[in-house]
Amino acid sequence: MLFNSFVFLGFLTVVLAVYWLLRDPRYQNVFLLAASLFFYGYGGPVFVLLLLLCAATAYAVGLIIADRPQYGTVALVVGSIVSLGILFVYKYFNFFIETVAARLGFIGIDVSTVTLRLALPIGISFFTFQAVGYMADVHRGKVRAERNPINLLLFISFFPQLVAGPIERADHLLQEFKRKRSISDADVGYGVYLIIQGYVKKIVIADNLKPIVDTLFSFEDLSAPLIIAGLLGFTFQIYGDFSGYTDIARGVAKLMGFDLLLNFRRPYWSSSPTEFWRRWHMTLSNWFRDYVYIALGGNRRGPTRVQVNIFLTMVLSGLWHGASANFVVWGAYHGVLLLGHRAWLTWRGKEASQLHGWARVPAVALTFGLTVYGWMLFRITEWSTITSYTTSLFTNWSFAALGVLALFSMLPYIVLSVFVDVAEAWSLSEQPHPKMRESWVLAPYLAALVLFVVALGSDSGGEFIYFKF
Amino acid sequence: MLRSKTIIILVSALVLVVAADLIMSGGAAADVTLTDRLAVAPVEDGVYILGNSMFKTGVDLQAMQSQIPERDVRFNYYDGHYTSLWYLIAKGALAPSSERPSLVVWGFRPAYALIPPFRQNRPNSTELFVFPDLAYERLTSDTVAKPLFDLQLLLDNWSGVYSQRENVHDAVLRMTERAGLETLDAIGQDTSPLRDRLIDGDRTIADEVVAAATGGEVELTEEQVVDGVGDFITGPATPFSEGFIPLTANAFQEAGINQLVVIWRPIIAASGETNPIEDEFVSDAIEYFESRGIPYVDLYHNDQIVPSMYGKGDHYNADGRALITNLLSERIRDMLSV
Repeated sequence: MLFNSFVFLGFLTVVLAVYWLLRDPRYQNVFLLAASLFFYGYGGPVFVLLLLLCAATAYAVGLIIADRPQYGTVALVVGSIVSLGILFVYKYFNFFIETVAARLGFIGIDVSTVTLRLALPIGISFFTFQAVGYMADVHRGKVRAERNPINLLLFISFFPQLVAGPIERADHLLQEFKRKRSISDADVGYGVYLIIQGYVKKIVIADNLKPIVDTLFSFEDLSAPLIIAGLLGFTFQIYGDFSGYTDIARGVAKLMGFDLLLNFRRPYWSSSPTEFWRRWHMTLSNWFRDYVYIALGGNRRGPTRVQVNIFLTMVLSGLWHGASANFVVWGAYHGVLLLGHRAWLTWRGKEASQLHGWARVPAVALTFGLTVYGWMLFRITEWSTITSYTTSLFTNWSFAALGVLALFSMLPYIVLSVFVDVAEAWSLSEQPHPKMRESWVLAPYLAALVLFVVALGSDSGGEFIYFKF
Repeated sequence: MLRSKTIIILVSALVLVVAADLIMSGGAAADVTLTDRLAVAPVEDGVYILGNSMFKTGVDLQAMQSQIPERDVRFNYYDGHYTSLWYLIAKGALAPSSERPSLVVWGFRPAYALIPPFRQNRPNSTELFVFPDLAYERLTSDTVAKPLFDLQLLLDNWSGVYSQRENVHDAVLRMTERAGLETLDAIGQDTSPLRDRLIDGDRTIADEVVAAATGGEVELTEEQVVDGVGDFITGPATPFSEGFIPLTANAFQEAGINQLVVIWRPIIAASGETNPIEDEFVSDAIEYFESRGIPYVDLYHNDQIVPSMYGKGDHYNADGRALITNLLSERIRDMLSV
């Protein structure tokens, strides 16, 4: 079920009405679990079984760690193999087999391969990671094993964040399910604000940028102005698409009295690659930091090992996005950027990262430019096209006028994206501005956003990009 | 009583939205007819092409206009999944129009027998659909699952802003095109060829990008895309007599509007293969048009159209477009005696 469908609006209305009629958190949780499974099974009921398997495994592993600590590590390993095994079979098996066969073929060994024809379950990377995170946290003693299966199932399957995050933590969302919940007028206001903002980002900004971006990137060869226009369009398309989903998810959860983790904090305002990853898909960055980077040794094993750990973590983070070489390259590219930034700080001293005011502008511009180029590695799956585009950026500056026109056709949505970010910064900042959510300016602003959605919202009903991850 | 500032702010926002919508509804509702809602208005004694991507890739409008300089040639384009619009436009917008074109050119692919005929999955997705028509309701009733509560239809009927969204999109697009051209002019670029094609012609920036990226080999985006996924409802074949085509032809006849129906040639026919269902569909169509004296152009059996004249799927490339434009222009000139 897509957030940007009328069906979802009907579903949400019914869920909110019943949820608040129930009042008792235990009944509310049972109802939310049923609603979440219905939400996930709406498009393909068979994948609900996978979700249940993943949650049941996490539940059982949690109990074994708590009750039979001597088997805790084994249970964690087995549980992780089951969860990540599901992910591997559905998402990476064919990629792995084909890559191995290609490498063997390269050295003259021909092997026949078997590939699986399996549809990729929506959101599989999100709920499996959430399950693995829970098991690891129980094993580390960070959270206690959850003995109520309803709570644990709900934690893995909570519908607002089930298919595209934010990736939640057991010490946060699971605890929210256990407490009696209340909702204030301010919560309602903020929830509505986030939902409306999310729809603007998705169906006004992302879905209107998509057709021109898709047209531009349907060619193997393009001139630099057209590539730049396409990349800028995609930069704001993917941000609108993904952060729009997160906003809606957080807004819906807020209307039920839950706080989901923040996932984006104006990432394109970052003044360094390090800052970018603290602002973009924050819950994934934190997951990889806590369960991969630290597991690899983190900062504890000397400078060379730190660099290797950073690079490996980013490569794996890239691979998380999709079973394709370009995602690995995208991850490696960002790994190199992070290492480059560390080297810069080592050379210039830590104070080089303390940029304020206008001093930030060149750093933000450079980080933005590097991020935009990185999106090419993310968006284009064919290596030959990536090479051709990169070469064109230095050698082919024809069709400049057309590139300007293509950019202008996307400009209203890019400007709107920046404007929404500025408004959000204002609304969330503590000082010196008043909080926008308590300001009278909010009324015309929200009205304007709603009118944008109604008048300029795309009819295409496009899927969210991150659903396929 | 409203309890908090937050709720008052939300209610105020809602009031502002409703007020804006009422203003738009008021402006839009005043004496606006379905004819006014046509994306391209008909002109008295002109040639009015009512078509989808088959016409867009099959007809070079500027070339046709130059071959028929005596008449104003206009093209009203909608995506293929809006094809049942032709019937609604014929009946609701062109028939009552005071501006009577000399000729309306419309057409169909025999694939509509299989897709099936004139079915689509967005029966109320444009304002032109919003009027009750029993025949239309009957023909779509078994193909379109009507939801219990159709919010889209409700908005189409009741929201001034929502019903104007296509116009708003179009206005934004035109505004950005012009702003881009002005900017290029300001920095000394010669934009006149682009201006001719985008502002005065019917091409889009996407068309220009496609042409630039393919070195002119492909001129239109539609040459690369066919049968937008999900836009057509598929189902069992339906006989010609039970679809929208005879209804549409009949609507023009009853309104006293001259028409020319184009039966497109799909690539499968150009490749020498036969499809019995499509053959029968075309055969029934020709029989129907001849029995009613309705002029038609049978491109389906035209062997001049060969596989090298296609882009993707049934859409034509520049060669196909040039040939078909000549064929249709010649026929139109004959019919109008110009």
